[in-house]
Parts: sequence; structure tokens; C-alpha cells
Amino acid sequence: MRRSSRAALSFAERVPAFARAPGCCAIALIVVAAIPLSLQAQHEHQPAPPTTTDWQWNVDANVFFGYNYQYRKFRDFSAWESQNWLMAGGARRTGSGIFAASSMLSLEPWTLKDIGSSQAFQTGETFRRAPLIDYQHPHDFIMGLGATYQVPWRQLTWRLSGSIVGSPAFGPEVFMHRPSAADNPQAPLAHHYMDSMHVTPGVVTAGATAGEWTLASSWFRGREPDENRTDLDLGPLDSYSVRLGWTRGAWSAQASGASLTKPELVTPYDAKKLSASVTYVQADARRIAWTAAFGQNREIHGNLEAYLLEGHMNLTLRDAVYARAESVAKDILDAGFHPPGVFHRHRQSQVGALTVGYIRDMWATPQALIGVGGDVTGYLVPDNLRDAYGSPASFHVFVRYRRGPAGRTIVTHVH
Amino acid sequence: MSGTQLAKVVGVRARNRATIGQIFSLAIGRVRRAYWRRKILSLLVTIALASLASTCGSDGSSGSAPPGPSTGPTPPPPDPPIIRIAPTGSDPKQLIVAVGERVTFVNNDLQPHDIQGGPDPANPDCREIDAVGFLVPGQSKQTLPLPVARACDYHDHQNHAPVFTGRIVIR
Repeated sequence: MRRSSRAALSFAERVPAFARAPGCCAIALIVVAAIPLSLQAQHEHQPAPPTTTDWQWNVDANVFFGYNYQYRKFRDFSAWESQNWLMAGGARRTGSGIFAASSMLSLEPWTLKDIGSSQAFQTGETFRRAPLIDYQHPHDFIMGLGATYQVPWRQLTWRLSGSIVGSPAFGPEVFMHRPSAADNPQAPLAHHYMDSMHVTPGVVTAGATAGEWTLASSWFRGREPDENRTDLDLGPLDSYSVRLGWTRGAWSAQASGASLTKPELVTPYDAKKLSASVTYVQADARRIAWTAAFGQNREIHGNLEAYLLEGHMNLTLRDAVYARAESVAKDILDAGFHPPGVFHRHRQSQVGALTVGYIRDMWATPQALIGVGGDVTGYLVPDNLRDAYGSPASFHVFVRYRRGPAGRTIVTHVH
Repeated sequence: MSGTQLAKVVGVRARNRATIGQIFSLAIGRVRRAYWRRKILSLLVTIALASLASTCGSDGSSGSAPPGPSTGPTPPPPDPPIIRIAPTGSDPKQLIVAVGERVTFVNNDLQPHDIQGGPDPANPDCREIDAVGFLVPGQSKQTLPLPVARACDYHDHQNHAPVFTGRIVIR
């Protein structure tokens, strides 16, 4: 154990040096783009079961590049930026089961500002050891790196996975994988209430599937990623979660809970999380997908709840629309560092947000879809934030590159 | 030509020269007079317009009031006490103000700040500073009037880095 830990830390120390090498971003993109289409499969959270002992590989990528404009009361913000996620994995039959390895990278440490992407009322993680407010943080360079073994036994399918960086059994599918959010470059304001633990350093998950039902439990490190986006934030596994999932045809649902040990740097107290969601993904030409989700953070200074409803629909083979509506309780007015022994009930601000967007696929090649789109977001500002924020609004105009077969595709996932 | 004829011719030319000179000098004199006439007239018009303008610009009482004693140039108003918050911290770190004055905090950072009285959250003090509170980028707010001569520390509730703390000395 000690040896593996040393090895992991050594790797972590090497990553920043590699990451700072000139052109590493371009190299990573070229490597992903150079993998032949024949090796690709439709992206799934768990790759399609291989039938032989040969490796079956799958690659997926989603890259947004565009202009982000945030209208505010006192000072507007704007930036050219790129949100991007690159995924690769492989699976092979091993014994009576299936062994799968997966990875996920993001170049956001270099394609977003250090402070992140400007987004009114967004919260979560820190910048210069202060709570990050009005920005979506850049994701870590290594967002996922792990392996899973699943095997059928006594009418159940058993699954055991271990990840250096992974997602514990909690919440709905993370927004960048959700079909209902596939063309939306913006993270939900509810991200840190229901699906933010997708970049968790150190995760062990065990689960079983019986028919339509899946029960899984994870043991993981509860601390949020630090501000160094190129290292591995390894540490003791001190938190746990449980998720019950259900799937039938186009429908899926989950309910989950997590107990976290000191998840936030600025609030060194334990916390609990609850989540529930329902998802519908229609696999015909219209590709209608929507998700309704609830998340609650139960912290020492109060319970904060978030509600989300988002959808995506193809109008034609080339045109699609998407929307997201949220109502999220934020403690922006009292977010700050709380040393041990100092805490108080936080004032809450129930923020509403509505995003509507449109995207048109302009170019389709055998290996990629390139679309041009844009969206507008308006906000419902509570009284206690009106003095500071007024009536903010934002818009994005972007080009989206998606690696996948020709025609609009919706990724599917298995929980 | 004889000498007599030559003398006559020279005499006629001399008379003619004298007549041309008189005409020339007369013309020059008229031009100069017209010049000075215009000069004086324009000066008078300027004076008249200036006096008219000063009358119109006054409050109506100064024109007839006797001139008072000269008080000299008015001193510029003192700079309002301002503390600017930048990504590198608050500036100035120590500000001296008079009793009863307010202090304006301006957030020039990219992130919100939350200005509160006292050296840290565990030791709240000088509650007049709490009126500043939450400041988004670009926003400015004032403290309440600082009523007592003393030193007041303040801190940023969002960011506890020492660079975002400071002191207001009230005299």
C-alpha cells in the first residue's frame, strides 16, 4: 500500500512537468484525433461488452470554443475560451467477466483562465484559497483514470471498480456526459449539488445489478480538487456514498446519498449530500432527451437545495435546440473561510436561471461533427442579491467539435 | 534744348512730384485713421460685450454689491477617503480619516469581497464597517460615519489572506 502510494505521488509530481511542456495541449488533441474511427464505439459510461479477449477501444471528445459574454450591473465580463473533454477507454473479456479501463482528460487548465469561466452565481471550489464565486472552475487535466471488472454470478452482475481519479456512486450522470446537456457548454448552477464529484481522487466502487435495478456503493476521498489543475490530489479514502439506480428502456432514475469528510477547503467541516433524478433519452431521429434532478448539500451552516430541468431535441438532422431551467439556493453572501470553531448560519439566495440555445451542425465528416451554436441565459435574482447583481444576463456563441460517427448522436450511459 | 527750356521742364516735373507726394501722404493718413478708428471701435465693442457677459453670469446681486475683502484662492476639497481592493490586496493598508467621516471601499478585483469590521471573523469590531459588506467587481460602498477617534481593523470575510486586511485610523 505504501509502495503504491509512493508511486502514485511520484506520478503526480511528474504530471505538472509534463503538462508544462510546450505543445502538450496540441499533442493531446492530435493523439485523440488520430485514433482511427474503426476503434471507436458509441461512448458509454461502461463500454459495450466485448465478446472476445481482444481489446475493444472507444474514443470520444467534445470541444467547445467560443465567446462568453456576461452582462452585469457594475462590470461586464467576456472571454474567448474553450471547454473540452477527451475520453478514451478499452475493454476485453477476462475469464468469465469483462475488464474495462477508462480515462478522461481536459485541457481546460490551459484553455480557460486560471480563475475559470465567468458565470453569474456559479460557486464551487476555490481560487487563491478563497471561495470561487461567479466563475465555473477549470476541470483538472486528469478527470478520470480507472478500471472496472464486472462478472455475472447467481443471476446478478457484480461490478468492482477502482479509480485514481473517478466518479463515486452519487448523483445523476455528470453534465458533460448527459444527453440532455450534450450541446450546452455551460455547467449547471446546480453542478456542486448533484454531479460535481466526477473528479474525485481515489475511488473504490462495488455494486450489483439485478434486472432493472442497480445498487452501488463507493469509498472515496471527500476533499474537492485543489487549485493545481495538473496534479493528482491523492489522500486517504474517508468518505462514502450509496446509489440506487433503475433503468427501463428510455427511462432511468437514481436516488443517492453521500457522507463527505471535510469536502471544502474554506469550510473544514463534514457534509452530507442527497440527490435524486429522472432521465429520458429517446433514441429515434428526434433524439429527445431530458433530465429532472434534485440535489441537496447538508452543511454545518445550513441545507442548500437545487432543482434542475434540462432538455435537448433535434429539430432536423442538422438542427437542435436545448434548454436548462434551474432554481438553486446559494450562500454567496456568507461564503468565506471559516476556521475551525467559527461558523454561523448562512444567508441563502434562491437564484433562478433559464438558458435556451440552438446549434446547427455545419460540417459532418466520418469522424467528427462540427457545429455552430449559441445560447442566452437570464436570471431570477433574489432580493438580497439585487443590489450587487441587478439583472444579469449572459450569452455564448461557439463552435463545437464532437468526435463521433456522422449524423447527430446522443451518447448513452449505463449505471 | 537750351538751358532755359531745360530748367522749365525740370521745374514742371518738380511741381508734379510735390503734388503726387501730397496726394500719397494724404491717402496714407486716411488709411491710418480708418485703422485706428476700427481698432478703437472693436475695443469698445469687446469691453461692452465683456461687461454684458459678466452681468449675465452673476447672481444678480454682485453687480450692485460693493466688492468684499479678498479671500484668496479656494482650497481644493480634500480627497474622499477611499480604499481600493485589487487582486494583490487592499490599498492603502492604513487610512487616516477624521471623526464622523465615511470610508468608501471600491472592488477592483475580479472576485467579490465581503468587508467586515474587526481583524478576523472571530473578533468582530467597528460595526460601522459592516455596512460595506458584499462587493461584486466594480461595485463600491461606504461605511457608516465613523463616530469615535480610535483605530479600526477590517477584514475580508470572503478571503482571509492578510493582504485583504487593513486599518482605518480615526482622529
